[in-house]
Amino acid sequence: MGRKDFNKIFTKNFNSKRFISLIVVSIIIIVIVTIFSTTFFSYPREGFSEISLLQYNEGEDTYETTMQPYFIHRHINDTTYFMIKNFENKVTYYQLQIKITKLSQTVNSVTPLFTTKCYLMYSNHTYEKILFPANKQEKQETDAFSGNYIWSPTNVTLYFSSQFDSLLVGEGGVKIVFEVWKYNTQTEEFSYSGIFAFIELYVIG
Amino acid sequence: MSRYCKARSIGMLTLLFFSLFLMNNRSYAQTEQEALTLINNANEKLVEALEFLEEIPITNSETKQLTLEMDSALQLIQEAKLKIIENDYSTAIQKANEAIEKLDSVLEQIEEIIKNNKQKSTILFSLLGVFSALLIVGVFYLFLTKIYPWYKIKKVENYEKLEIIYENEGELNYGEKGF
Repeated sequence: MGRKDFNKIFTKNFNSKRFISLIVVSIIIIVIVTIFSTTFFSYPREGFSEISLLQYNEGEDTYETTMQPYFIHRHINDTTYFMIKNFENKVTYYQLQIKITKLSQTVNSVTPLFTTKCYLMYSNHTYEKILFPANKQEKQETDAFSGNYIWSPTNVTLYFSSQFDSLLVGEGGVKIVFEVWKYNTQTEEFSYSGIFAFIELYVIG
Repeated sequence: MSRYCKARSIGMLTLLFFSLFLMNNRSYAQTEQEALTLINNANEKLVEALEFLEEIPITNSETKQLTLEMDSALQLIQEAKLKIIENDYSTAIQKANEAIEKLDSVLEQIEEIIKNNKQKSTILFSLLGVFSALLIVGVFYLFLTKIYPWYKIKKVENYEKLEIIYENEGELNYGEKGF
């Protein structure tokens, strides 16, 4: 079949009115399906939370993730800062639980540290905050320390009291674990998010 | 003053002192209880507001402001809890009341947004319903006026192409012409 024959057949069978109606009907169907699917099946996208432990650099008036302390004196308190970012795609009510445990104790993202294996450094409701989720543009920011989606760097006093002495048996130091908990409106209680950070400190004195 | 009078006065003074002590203690306990009840109420309202907030899409411009107000109420609740530990019940009551006031306002705003959203979705669904009905009527009309007559014509055209072929005498075979 030559090109001429093909063009002849095509122009003979081509009905412009039918073609336009087909396009219009397709567009209408697509619009209806899109509206229904976004209205009835708008599942929130899965997100995540982020915790960072920081130190304040007075010289440059900024926070840095390095420079964490390696030692803690029995009678001298130290300070560290934590920062939490909400990338959960929804408003989230956070609770930060700060626990002190043995240096050899492993920490995981499935189960939190149970009180039989650690001590609470602060009561659970000490550090709580409600954060708005980050938008698309904010998700690209890497060096932001403030914003509606950020729990701005907050200082925590690190201390070592005599009640923690049992943690030192056979070990020279302790591990301070920062666990991020999220409020679950279904169960109406805080649940462990699996997000954590820790500092390992050797005890002096 | 007789010895009897002295003893009576001492007895009355002791009774007065003891009653005052009891009253003071009771009011102290009442204040603590009141502060705890108010903090509990504020916590319940905060949870209620969070549950309601989940019903609003985060793209709503007012949601950000509401979240900030809720966080500010949460900080007031935290402060009230701290004041209870410090035995400063009057400040704890004041903070808890402030938190309740904020959360009441937040709840009102959220309810208003949800109500507006419901109204909007009712309008949207009504329009969609009307649009769908029109579309169905249109398709039916198209089918009855265009497609079905076209199909009938095509059918007749196809039947017209049929011819009877006699292969052998006495036997009838049906075949198509031009296919």
